[in-house]
Amino acid sequence: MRKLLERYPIAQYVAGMFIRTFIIALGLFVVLFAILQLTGVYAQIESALDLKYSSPFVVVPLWAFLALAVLCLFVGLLIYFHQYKRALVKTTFGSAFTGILEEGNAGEGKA
Amino acid sequence: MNNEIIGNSYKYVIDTSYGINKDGFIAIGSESVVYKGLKTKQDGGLQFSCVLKFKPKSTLENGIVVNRLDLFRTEELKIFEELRECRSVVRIDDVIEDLGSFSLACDKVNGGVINGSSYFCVVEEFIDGWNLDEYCREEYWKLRRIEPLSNGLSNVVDYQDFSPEEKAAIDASYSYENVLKYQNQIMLFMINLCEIMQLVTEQKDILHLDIKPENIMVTRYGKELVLIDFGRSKKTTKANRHFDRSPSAVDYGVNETIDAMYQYGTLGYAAPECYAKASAGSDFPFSLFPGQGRISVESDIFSFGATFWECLNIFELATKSRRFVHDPHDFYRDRFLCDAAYVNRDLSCTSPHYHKKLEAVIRKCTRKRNDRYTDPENKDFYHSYYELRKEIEDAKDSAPTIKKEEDVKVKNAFSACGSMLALLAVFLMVFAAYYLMAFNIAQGKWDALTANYNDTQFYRLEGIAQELVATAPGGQVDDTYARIAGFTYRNGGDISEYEAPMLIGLLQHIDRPALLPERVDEIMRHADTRKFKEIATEVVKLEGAEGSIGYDLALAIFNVEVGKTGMAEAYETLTVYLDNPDFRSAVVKLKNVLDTDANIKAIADATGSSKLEIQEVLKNAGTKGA
Repeated sequence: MRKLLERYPIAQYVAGMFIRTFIIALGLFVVLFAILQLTGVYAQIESALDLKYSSPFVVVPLWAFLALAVLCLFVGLLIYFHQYKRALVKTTFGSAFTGILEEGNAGEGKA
Repeated sequence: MNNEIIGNSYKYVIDTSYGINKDGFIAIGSESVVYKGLKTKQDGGLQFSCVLKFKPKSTLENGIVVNRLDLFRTEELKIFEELRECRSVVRIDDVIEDLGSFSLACDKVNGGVINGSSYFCVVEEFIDGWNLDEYCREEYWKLRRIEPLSNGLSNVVDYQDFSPEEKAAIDASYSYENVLKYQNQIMLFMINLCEIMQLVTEQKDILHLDIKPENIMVTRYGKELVLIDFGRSKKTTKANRHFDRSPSAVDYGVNETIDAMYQYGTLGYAAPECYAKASAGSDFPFSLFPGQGRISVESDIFSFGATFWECLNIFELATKSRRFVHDPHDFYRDRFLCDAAYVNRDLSCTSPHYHKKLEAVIRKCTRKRNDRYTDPENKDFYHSYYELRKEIEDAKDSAPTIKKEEDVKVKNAFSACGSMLALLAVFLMVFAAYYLMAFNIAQGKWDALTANYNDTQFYRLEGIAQELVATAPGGQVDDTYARIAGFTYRNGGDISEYEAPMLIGLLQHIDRPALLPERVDEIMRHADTRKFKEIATEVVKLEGAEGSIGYDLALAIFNVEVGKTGMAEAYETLTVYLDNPDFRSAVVKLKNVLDTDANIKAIADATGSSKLEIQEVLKNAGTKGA
């Protein structure tokens, strides 16, 4: 597995960050849930927010993270396949230097 | 006459196996002639490479004889001593003031010979590698090659003289990948030189004043830079970090000596303020600005920018300008000595694949001077190598990489994708946990709500009831329904027009259809008599409950009251359940809706019974058990 990831760095970026974020996020959820349960606040929150599997508090982030994951993948692929090109702006120096190079070419032609 | 120089610990000879003409010659500058040498201990032993720099003992400047040896001892040697700790500055091994009987024929110096009467020798360490110009032109882009000749000597062949096939191959190598690779290497060099100059200028207060590709060596192994030739360097102080150029003027209309015109730097690379002022009758090549002639770290930074501008444009310069290839000094002198071509240099004529931030660095280094160009508050100029290095590092981090996977933007995008997927997975787990616990959660909510229920909470109750039925495990749906229905029938009360649709809606989820008629009967038995029309409307929507008493009565009420039809069928239903005490309310409701003159007439017409007979039936309906 490690060899495979070393061979495909992009998979390594995705997997590496996935594992890190997953552990942190899950840990945070568990800690938060435990605190809320122990303090007895969770039941109030559950009732007040009507928390359930189809609650917007669960479904909206689910779809949002899916959309963001697809978006990041798309952007990543776009950058991966993009060839950088600087916007060329006409400058005084550029015009002068172009003239110098063209003179050089003309001189070479005559020679 | 001999070819051996006797030094303090070593003896030196010219390395005649080195160079194109096998004469050991490396380069000639305005201050020295440089040869590759070999050093051996006085008592023999191994030979080591070194560089022998022959410098004139005295020169004539503006009609005054200048003792170069004294100048070397008092200035340059002290600078080298101070920079000895820096591995990226070339080291002086020995200074031989008396060359003894050493004599070397050299057609590049006046008199054609280097000997002890007019030259002294500085021995420097030999850097195995290329100077920056050679590296860019020969080693990287292969725009020049050395061709061995039959007589054992070599010939230099430039791109301009390559065959069409060779030119095509070189042109093809100027690709996106190679440009990025080259850009990366150049930016590493820039950062490396910044580090060296930070030590030289910012720690040791020394201005190099001759930064150019020929004075920057690239080591063969490791590609590290080594700064050479401190012949024009000046020591400043922390308090006073600049000095003023000598007031002597030159005539830019005629050929002046190189020393006079370019005392502080080399033409093409020196900052405008390093140029001598124009004498009466000639024009200074650049716009005049206050503070002109004040030489500072900004002057070295200009040369830094001009050096790397040339490196980044080397492909165009070497392939399009024969003049540059043959004599860069003349090329710069004839074409560049004006504001338009000398300052504000950019990369507009070279590859568009070089990064815009790198171009911005070059432009800022070579920016046209104004009255505040040395003011540290003026952010249009670099005033230290620290800030210059920061911006080069920023450009390097932003620039696309050759291996797309190493591009920081690609890395960030895919890492962000990984993060989003992880958060998605966490929320999927939360979703799964809630899904698995849904029935228990709904039960908890139901218990909490029903403990202190009032009618204003009906919509919440309806939501939880639907949740309970929808999430109830297989086999428990009917029991769950019974529990909900039981709550609505609490205290023997009737169900309202709101509760009926709720119960009908829940009945649609019941997984045992056989129980449906019984449930409908139950609803009809508990229906609020004032709301029969609405409740009947809901009941008839239910599929699978046909044939039950409740359903039949609801259908009859619905048809007569809402549909205004089926009076005879409704009357028949009434006669069937006339005496059923469990459904008395529904029967009374049906009787009431049928007990109109129009309905009785319609029933009489349809059944053939008399109106009196029908009125009698309606009169007695629902009386049993009342």
